[in-house]
Amino acid sequence: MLAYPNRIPTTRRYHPGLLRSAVFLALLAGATCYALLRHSASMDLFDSAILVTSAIGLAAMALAWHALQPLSLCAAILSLLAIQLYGQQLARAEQVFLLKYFLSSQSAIMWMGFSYWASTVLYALGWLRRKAGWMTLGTRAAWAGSLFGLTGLLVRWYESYLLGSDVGHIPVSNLYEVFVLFSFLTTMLYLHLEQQFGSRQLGLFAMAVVSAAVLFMFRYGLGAHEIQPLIPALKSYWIKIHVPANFIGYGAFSMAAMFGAAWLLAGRPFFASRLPSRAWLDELSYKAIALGFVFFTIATILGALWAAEAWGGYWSWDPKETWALIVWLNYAAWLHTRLVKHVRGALLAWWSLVGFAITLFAFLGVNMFLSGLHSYGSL
Amino acid sequence: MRAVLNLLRSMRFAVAILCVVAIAATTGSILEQSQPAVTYIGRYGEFWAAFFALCGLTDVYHAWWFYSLLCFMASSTALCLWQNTPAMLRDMRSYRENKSIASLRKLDYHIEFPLADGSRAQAGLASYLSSQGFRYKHTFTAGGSLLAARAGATRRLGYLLVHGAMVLICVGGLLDGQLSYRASVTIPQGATRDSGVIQDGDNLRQQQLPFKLRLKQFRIEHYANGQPKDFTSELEIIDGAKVRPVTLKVNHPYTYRGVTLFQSGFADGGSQVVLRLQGAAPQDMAGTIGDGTALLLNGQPATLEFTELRAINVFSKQAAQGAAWRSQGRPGDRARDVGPSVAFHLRDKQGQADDWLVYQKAISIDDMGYRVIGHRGHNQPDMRYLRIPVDADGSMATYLRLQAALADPQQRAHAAQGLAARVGDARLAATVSATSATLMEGFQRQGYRALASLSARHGRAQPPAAPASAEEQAAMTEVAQLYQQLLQRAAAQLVPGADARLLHEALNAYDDALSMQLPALFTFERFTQVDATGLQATHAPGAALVYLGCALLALGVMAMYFVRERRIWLHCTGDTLLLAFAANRNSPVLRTEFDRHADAIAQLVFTPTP
Repeated sequence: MLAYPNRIPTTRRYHPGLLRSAVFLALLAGATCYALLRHSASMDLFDSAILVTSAIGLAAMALAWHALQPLSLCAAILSLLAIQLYGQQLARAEQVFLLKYFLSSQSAIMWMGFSYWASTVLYALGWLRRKAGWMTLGTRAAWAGSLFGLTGLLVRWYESYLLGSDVGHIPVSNLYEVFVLFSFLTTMLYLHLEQQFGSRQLGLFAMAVVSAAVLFMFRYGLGAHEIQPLIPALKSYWIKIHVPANFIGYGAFSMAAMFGAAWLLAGRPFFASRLPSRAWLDELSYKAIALGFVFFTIATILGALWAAEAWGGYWSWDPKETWALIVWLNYAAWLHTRLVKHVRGALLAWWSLVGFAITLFAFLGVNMFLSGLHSYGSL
Repeated sequence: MRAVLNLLRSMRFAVAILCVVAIAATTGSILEQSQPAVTYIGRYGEFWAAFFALCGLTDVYHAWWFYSLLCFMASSTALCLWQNTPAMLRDMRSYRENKSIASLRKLDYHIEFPLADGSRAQAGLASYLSSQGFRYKHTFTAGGSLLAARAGATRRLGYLLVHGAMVLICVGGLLDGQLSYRASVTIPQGATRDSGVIQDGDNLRQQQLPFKLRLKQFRIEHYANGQPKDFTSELEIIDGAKVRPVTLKVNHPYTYRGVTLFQSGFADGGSQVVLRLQGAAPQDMAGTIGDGTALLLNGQPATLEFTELRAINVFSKQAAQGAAWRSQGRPGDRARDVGPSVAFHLRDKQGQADDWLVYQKAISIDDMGYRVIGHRGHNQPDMRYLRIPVDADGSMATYLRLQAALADPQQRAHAAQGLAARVGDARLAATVSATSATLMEGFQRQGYRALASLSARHGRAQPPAAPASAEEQAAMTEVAQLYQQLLQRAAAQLVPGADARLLHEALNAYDDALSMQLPALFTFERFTQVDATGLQATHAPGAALVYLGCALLALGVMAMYFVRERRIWLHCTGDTLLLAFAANRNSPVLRTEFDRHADAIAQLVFTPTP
């Protein structure tokens, strides 16, 4: 029987963030209404619906996770500042100091990459020396990177409209842009987990994936950062929901793989002293895979609905679709395996790594090695 | 029988079938699907092609074994659902109030408090459970009273939804695998069609539509750089006496009588093109895309078969050198329109066809305009491109004059004399005249190869030495360069007043034309475009089931992820209160939650009530 301290907790829960949240919600509601009224002419029903839904979604998330409030507020301020500085002229990206070095999408995304790299290094230092201070700095750098990443995406969205009102589109249409999205979303997922879990010991593992993505993006992005007009099939509101949902899935799966790797390493004393317990690692990879599975399922369904509109069939066995199905089946099998009695954690940990390889192939390999309807994301 | 059923509904079996379907799906993405049989034979050889066809590997997703796998997955899921649903529903509603104290004490999370006055605490505990989102049931047991509570029953509903949805999706998908079709319908401007074409490997099948379609108008919108932006078809659906106007765009389909129409692209509806056969007497030839035109080529009958007209050709430029990482790209920086082109076959009387691709306008390459003509002989693997330099006015006059002059012995002799006249020394002048005449004559027949063989002969005129030494090699190159210069000068005599660089390029083009063995020189003069819209007509009777399944699946996975099923038992026996806690899934998080509940309940139990 558990011993229980004969203590009566009497403190009442105090909400310091209540006022702040109220202000944030008011600002968000105001901004949404302003956008709806001011730009009603250029938005169709779907655009308005997506705007309102995103606002509600952001409000809900920001209430559940208060750290999102300063992030979205700062990103909004920086983006509005960038829009002011641009003043409808794309050429100012090269002339105005702030734009040239910080706020134009190229620069902001570059800063995002550097911040994420810095974050990885700081996490690694703190992790190796078991110093909390370094790791706190790592968290800060990750937040800074996310702010730059979000600002970069928002500014890029605006920049695409400066190229021509018919060219403008959400910046998730080529591989360079989705890598920015992937880095941003994966970092946000990790930061949320860090805040929930209350330990920074996994920062190195999560940010290592993000750093690798940034490296790939910089190498590849040298030739592909130009904003291109969309091909007719991509001109649809579905792109705004299908792609981000997919990348939450990819991000969660890659984190799960890193936690699986950590689980495997936790068997050695050197790592065991620097990692959470295996029970927690197991729990975290389950959480990550389950979350990824939810979003990946929704993204695949949205993709099927979009395909029905654009290509004339909800499922064409296009390589990207086929591999999405393979990823989905793989993680479904993983989730079922957890329920089989006497399955060892090592199997699940290795499997989450294999799952990551499959996910990576679905994300990149399909575009590199197979051809099909999704060929616009090609390298 | 029972053992088989137990196997089918076991978790291990579920894992296995998911993996097997995943692997089966992989095969289809590795081997290219639904290609004509020739492709497989060409790539893998006869034996493997036959093997693939036998195993259905050339069309995995419509093969009988893939269908049976999916059927198997659907039926085992359905079986699981059938077997588990009653228990699930019972469990969802149950509070598990019959659990014995002994079994509660065996749970991982339990704790016992000493209780001052059990009856007074009871009401507070119940309201605490409600405030935490639990629903509870109060029962009396032999030793006291029990509050059995549960939260998150929706999770079980999520399980039912997810697995039911999978069955629905599989059934809908299998139904569509048998009954659905996707036909391409190409309608030229103003024409009416009532059927589409289904391509199935090597076969083309005609698919009748339940109505007629007439294309009133087809438009292609372009971005500023010439990339297509949208396709729009103004159609009329003619269903007996009813006529319904419909506008189709990409991403904006229209469904009528179970058939959904999609804008998928465009095709040629019989555009008129005019080619010019260049020569001593240029000759214009008109033709229609998709049709043939007969002509006499060098005295032999031949046919021109026009295959494709493109009014716009967007080429991606090479990445600009030194473009900074930060530079902002504009659309159009990487792509440009090089103007219309026409593709055709030139079929000789033996039935052998050459492929041609002729661009109408001059294309600027390194600040110089060229007419580009692609040609692939019937025995050549790849298309080669001839670049003919154009004059400032965009015509090929210089090149054509050079070609004509080279072919004329009199003009060659005249040019040789012209060159000789510039040389003061009589003996040298005679040599220059003779050499340049030989050069021009050789170049006219053989191109630069003639220069090479001439310079080689010049080398051998010296006393023969066994291997050509480095010095001799250098001397030969020098001679070749001299010949090259002489040819260039001779060309300037042939076409007086022409630009030197233009002439140089013209000589290169002439040489290329010879080495490509071009049987004739065609240029693309004019065209009148007639567009046809490319539609797809699909009929998928299972789609409704699939969409319903998708909706349930989305709801189900969300319920399963976001809702946690938890149970609390509070058992009062005289002077002790037993708190037991369980969830659907063991996790370290439960410890925190259990501690929270234990804290709060301890507070309730110990707080003295006035």
